[in-house]
Amino acid sequence: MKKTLASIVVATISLSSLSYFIWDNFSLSSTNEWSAEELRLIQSLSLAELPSLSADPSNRLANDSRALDLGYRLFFDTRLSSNSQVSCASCHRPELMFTDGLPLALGTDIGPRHTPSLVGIAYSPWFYWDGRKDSHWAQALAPLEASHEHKSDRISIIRLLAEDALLKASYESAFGSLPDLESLPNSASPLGTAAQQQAWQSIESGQQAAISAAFANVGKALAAYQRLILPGRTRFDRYAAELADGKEMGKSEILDAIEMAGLKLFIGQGQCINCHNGPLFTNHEFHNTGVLAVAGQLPPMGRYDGIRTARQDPFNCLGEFSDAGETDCIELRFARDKNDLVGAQKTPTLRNVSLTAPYMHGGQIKSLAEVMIHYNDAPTSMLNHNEAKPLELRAVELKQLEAFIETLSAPLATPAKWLSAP
Amino acid sequence: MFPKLNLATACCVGISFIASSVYSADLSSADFRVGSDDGYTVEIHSQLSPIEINKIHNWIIKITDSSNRPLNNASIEMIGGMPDHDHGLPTEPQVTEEVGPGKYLLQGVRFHMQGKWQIIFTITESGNQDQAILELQL
Repeated sequence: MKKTLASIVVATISLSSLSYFIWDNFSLSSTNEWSAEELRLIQSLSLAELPSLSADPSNRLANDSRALDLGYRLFFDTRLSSNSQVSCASCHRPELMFTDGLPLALGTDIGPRHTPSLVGIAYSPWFYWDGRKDSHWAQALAPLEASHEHKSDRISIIRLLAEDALLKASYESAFGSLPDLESLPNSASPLGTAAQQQAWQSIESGQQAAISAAFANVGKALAAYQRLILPGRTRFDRYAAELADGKEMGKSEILDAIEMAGLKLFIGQGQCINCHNGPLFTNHEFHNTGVLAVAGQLPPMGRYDGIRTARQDPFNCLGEFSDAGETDCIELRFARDKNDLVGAQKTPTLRNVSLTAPYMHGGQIKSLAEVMIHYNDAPTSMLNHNEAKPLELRAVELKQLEAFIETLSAPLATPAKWLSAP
Repeated sequence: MFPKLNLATACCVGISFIASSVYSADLSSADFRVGSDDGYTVEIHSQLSPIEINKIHNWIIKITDSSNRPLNNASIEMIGGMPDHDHGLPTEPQVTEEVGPGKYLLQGVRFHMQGKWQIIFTITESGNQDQAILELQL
């Protein structure tokens, strides 16, 4: 009797386990057509919807070919670093969609944040994971003087431009004469080491402004180059174009059934499109999604601190080195700074994301599969609250989502000549 | 001109009465109107038409009193967010100018997600305070 009962229990448990396994891992239905709303959302994500880059009022040479030429040279130039081994391209490697494949950036030292992709970044009103810079050119300046990145200083950078005939000619064709460096210290900055800061204080304020203006121009040139780093047309974009032409869902040969199921989840139950919206798959905004702090670091304040830093930045849109008028600086003037931004990090683009592992602001999550699990679970945030809610998707659905996201990669639209050092 | 009623508002001296109605924007309209029989009427015109996500833009807010007279020298505060996601607006819009009788320029409006947004206007004039909630489905 006991043996029979045990057999029944074992059989019941086995059957239940088998049923759960089938439910969790096998697709139970296939989609045959898109609703009008789904079609609208799909088109909203298409690269065809990406407008041309608008002018940057704070950088009057953002679209200038002379500034582009200088920025291109500087981007790959390791002499901009204190040890002559680090260039922008050291972390923003063109062959890795301008990322580095590392959890945390490695310049002259290991940094606190994961290197974000630069693809399409010129469309963003905010820069860095916490949005502490409000322009592309202002962002480009910070690594040059950061102790873990280039670890250089603005006078050393300007001196390099003055002493290299090619760079000097390139700079002066775009921005005019370099400031006079005679009698100035070799190395000085309002940031950097105590010695560098002391040296900076010894410089007369007019000269300080001239040096900082030339330094700002270096950022403006780097931004002019980086505006060329734009995403290419992916399989998803070709599929969206096919739908726009009226092709029926079931007759496509561009995406397979798994990828289409993933797309359906992306714009629907998965809620990915809430933040990863628009043709760059990002709203360029800041969200707390409950990602654990980097091991050994305190949970970051994120955008809450980032906006405060941006407002104090002498290189911001309203500052003396910006080419913009006050009325142009609407993002900075009307930026929000409230408590709900504690722990919020910037939404990254998902274009080429399958080529840019690891993920999150500290590279905490190694694979796309694990990212899917993270959002499905929506864990409690260490600071503030996780805006995302558990999705309760099945394992098979997470794989479908991942399959769709892998259709978002393609070679860049940037001409090949700009993707390697001069 | 104002195709759908989307906001209800009420005005009381010293006491805020909150009412709301849901307007489902089809993103083809940029004009909204709110009002009540005995309170202010608030007309909203978005200078971005149709309203799109991720684009910062301005609104013109026109306020008239129960006698249909423009409400001048009012202070207007706009806050908002997404109740389903527990976060606020990505920006902090502000009235920067009274551009005509009872007409105010509200700068820095941006929405960064589709879905249900709740926007609260607080209108203060001569010690009277009027609060209204707009629920906007983008």
